[in-house]
Amino acid sequence: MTNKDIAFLPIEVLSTKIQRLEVSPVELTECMLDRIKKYDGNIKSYVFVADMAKEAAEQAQKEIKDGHYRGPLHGIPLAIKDNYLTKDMPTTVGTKAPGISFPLIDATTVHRLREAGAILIGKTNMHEFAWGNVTPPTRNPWNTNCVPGGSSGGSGAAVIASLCTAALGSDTGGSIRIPASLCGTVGLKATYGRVSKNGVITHSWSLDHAGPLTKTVKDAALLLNVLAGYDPKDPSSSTAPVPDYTKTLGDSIRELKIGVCRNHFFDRNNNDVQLAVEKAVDELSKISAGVVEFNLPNLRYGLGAIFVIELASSSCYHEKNLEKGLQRYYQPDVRTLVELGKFVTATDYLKAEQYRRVLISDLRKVFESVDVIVSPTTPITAWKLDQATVSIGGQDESVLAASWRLTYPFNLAGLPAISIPCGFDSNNRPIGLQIAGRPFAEETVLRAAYAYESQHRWKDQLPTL
Amino acid sequence: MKKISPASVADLCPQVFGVEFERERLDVLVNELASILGEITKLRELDLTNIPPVVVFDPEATYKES
Repeated sequence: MTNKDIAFLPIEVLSTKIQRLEVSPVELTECMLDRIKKYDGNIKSYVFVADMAKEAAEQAQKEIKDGHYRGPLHGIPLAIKDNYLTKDMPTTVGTKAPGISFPLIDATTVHRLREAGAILIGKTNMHEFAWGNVTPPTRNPWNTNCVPGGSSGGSGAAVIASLCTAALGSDTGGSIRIPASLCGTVGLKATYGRVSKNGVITHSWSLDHAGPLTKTVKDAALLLNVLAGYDPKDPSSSTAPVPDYTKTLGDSIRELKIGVCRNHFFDRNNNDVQLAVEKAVDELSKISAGVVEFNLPNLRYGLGAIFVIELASSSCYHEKNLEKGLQRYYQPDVRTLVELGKFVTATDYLKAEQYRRVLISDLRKVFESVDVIVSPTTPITAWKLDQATVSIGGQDESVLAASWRLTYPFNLAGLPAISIPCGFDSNNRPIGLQIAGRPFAEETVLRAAYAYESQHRWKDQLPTL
Repeated sequence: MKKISPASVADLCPQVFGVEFERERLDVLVNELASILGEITKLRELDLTNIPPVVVFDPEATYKES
């Protein structure tokens, strides 16, 4: 096996090879660092590369040789989104604004990855302060004239370009699942509270989720096994027990009912996306207990609600910077959004929080008759770097508005949702399939995703760099 | 505390928002706000009088931190 080969392998394969001493963490880490040097000048997925990762890899190699294998992440090179605090790598949260700095300490999740033996090879680029779906200057490895999505665009691009084996992202309105969809990776946002946010720089307290972007569904489960669990340092952290998310992964989904929300999620999608997802729904219907279609009329109020909560929360978080006038150094789009939060009234904010209860209640009723809800992850595929609008069904729409339409409902409701590849459009750009579930039903979501993934070879499709 | 003497809406901004925006910047923000206000207006149509907000006060929260 050559260095080139090991770069493309998922954790589920590499971990066995590392445990059996067939692949060494050192050669794997060096391979990734070499690839970053060779290809990331064009992709621009990293903002910091940890050359000192070689030392951690040597330590991992020694431990494994000495019989102290820690588990499936031991010796695996991972990348971390630049809004997770790290003790040995600078954190910028995507901003170059002067006078803003972050401490050199580990986020709880980063600490857990280190304890599991993972090798942290760098920090990935992100949209400034996680406020956007584009991630400049990162490019989509499938077509470097296209965006990778955002705000975890660096993580999505790095994973699909095999510049790391997996990466961490964060998701406030779709920021894990959107780049996963546009780059053709798996992206998992678990239930709100399932994964600690301690040490992940805040965007919106009640909407933020931390989670992985991976090459396969099983890799997402392996990472969730390490990331999930109660953290007293995160007030929103859940004490719900953490199962082994790989245990039921291969079980049949014959008893699962697949829900399809016909309004909102299937109203306005690009034709290629619509066709690919309808085909996926049809395939899932044949291996499950069937499809249940429904409508959620109250989704029409969701965009207003998430705008109000995100704007107000972000503005509140940045208030000291606003007082100092530091926002003038933010990117223009981010500056406007952070300032706009000042215009949100307290009554509108509370109304949005009331609305969330309505949406959660509506979804709870739906989940009485379905086990998962399936939809496209994004209504469109990766768009050109300079593209501002897209035509869907003859109607022009802002790409930014379109891109998060199908993901933000699950942030408002705090439900687990995964994006997995389900094909390519006519321009060879990946299409994402979103599967959401009941609160803390990550096992069910992962099982449905794995069942679909197992019937296809999408995970083996990689871009030519 | 600075005494408020409202000569115009723009003059009120520093007190209302706690942040001073230049007049040109206010124009930009009001223009951007217009597109979002449509969605917020939709939300305001809902009668949620008897629905408690999803964020609930937890008096024990800080005791759980260690």
